[in-house]
Amino acid sequence: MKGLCDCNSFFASCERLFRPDLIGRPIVVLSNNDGCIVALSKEAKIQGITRGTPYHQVKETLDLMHCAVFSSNYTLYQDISDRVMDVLSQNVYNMKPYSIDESFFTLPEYMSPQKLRATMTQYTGIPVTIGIARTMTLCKVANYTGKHRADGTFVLKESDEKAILQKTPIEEIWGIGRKKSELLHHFGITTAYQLMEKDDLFIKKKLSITGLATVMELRGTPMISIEQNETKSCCSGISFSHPMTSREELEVAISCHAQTLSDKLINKGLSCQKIGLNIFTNRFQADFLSPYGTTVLDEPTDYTPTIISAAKQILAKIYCPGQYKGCRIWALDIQQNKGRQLDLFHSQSYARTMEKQDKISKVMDSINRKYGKGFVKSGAQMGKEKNDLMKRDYLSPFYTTQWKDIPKVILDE
Amino acid sequence: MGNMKEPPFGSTIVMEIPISCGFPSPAQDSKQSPLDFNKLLIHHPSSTFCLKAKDSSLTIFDINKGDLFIVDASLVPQKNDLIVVDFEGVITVKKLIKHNGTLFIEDTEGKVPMKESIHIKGVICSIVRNIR
Repeated sequence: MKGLCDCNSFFASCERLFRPDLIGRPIVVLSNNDGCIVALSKEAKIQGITRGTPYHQVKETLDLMHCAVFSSNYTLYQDISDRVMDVLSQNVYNMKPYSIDESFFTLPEYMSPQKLRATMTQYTGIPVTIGIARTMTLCKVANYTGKHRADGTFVLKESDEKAILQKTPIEEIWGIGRKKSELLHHFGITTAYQLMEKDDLFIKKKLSITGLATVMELRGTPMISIEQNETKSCCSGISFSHPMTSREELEVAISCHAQTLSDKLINKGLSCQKIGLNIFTNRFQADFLSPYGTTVLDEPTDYTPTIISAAKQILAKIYCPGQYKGCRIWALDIQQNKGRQLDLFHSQSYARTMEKQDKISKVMDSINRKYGKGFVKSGAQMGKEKNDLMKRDYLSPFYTTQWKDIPKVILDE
Repeated sequence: MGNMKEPPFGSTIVMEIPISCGFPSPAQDSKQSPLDFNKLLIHHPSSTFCLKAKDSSLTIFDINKGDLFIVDASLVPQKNDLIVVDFEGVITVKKLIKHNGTLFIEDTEGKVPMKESIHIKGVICSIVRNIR
């Protein structure tokens, strides 16, 4: 049987890991720059707080409900996610991570979902829900049902599928978005079972071929597969804490993100051959600007200085005066470093440069890993700390990745 | 070196300095990687976390301020283990003891019976102490 392991309120659970005083208390996690609510605990959901709400709109309400507020601490979430995935992979077959807090797998016959869930929770401290079913889409349905059960697991047996799908609203089906749900409502379709009963032609017409795959999955035929390492592009971006107008200011900000991007590539063992850059002003103003440009590199690379200079080159091309709110930088045409293809006509001296670049990147990366992100950086980033560029007023410590941040315990009160 | 004699004036010294690669080290094949403290101290990296002692507690734990605890959440607590618990909303260290067949958690204040509501976060498997 296929399975899905989903961490419950993942970001909030991470924040709670070393803060038992927060157990049972509402928690919200804010987006980059402390703008909107991106994640929230069950307790906050119950009190009517919703994802996507701008923080300043509900600040007072949150204070009243004694809610804990956090800036997003992706360093922490990623480390905990890696741990969750590692423990899971040791207990199941064929694990396929789907997002930072979800992973599909095949459940071994000797393992019960209850035992798996207990192990996951004990080993990682993160509560999870386990859904078991015949296909991935049905696993999502099983998970949805499991979330509301005390033991946090649900095995969707073939014989129970009809009964459960009759109770599953179409909005909850994996791959059916809000727009498609609204469309289907017009045809009187509100549950997964009603959708399943429709003929293929109708589904293909209304929901396209991917919608048909979803319905086939609901009927019990596996159609979807998730392939790992299929990263095609990688992006780093952010909205600035204050609008930026000058090119110099933007250059510093962009250099920081070029570094982050290069770090991501190095960590994943990838190189890119094309860089894309977009800077944008306030979307809701009449003079909205969002210039975008790309540049093709001579060779695939993960080397920070090359990526930074490429990004600056694009900036020079696309910059026009404006009040910029943010930037996004992409690594495009990504490939694995192993067996990196060198241009046939590149000389040996070029190969040596590559080797040198490789060494510099590795040294910078290892220093940053040891002494903290951004300890050594390229000269282009001087003048401003990345953290100054981003507002993170409620950031929790990096409990599991920085010596200075490891939790302290009091022994004698 | 100090009492090396100066050669007599006018004489020529011929020095032969052999420069070669020398005999290959007979130990080369026996090379091993250096001692890895991660391997020694951390057996289950994904379920291991660190805590630091904020104060000393010499009476029952023999712990100094600044000691680093390596805590493994995958271990099953046994009697006389030092364990990390969520106790009344605070993370703290206790000793798990067995008395007349009942489990208790003990600290300097005394001991209380182990109950469901006390959540064990992990077992301390090593303590790292910097003694300088």
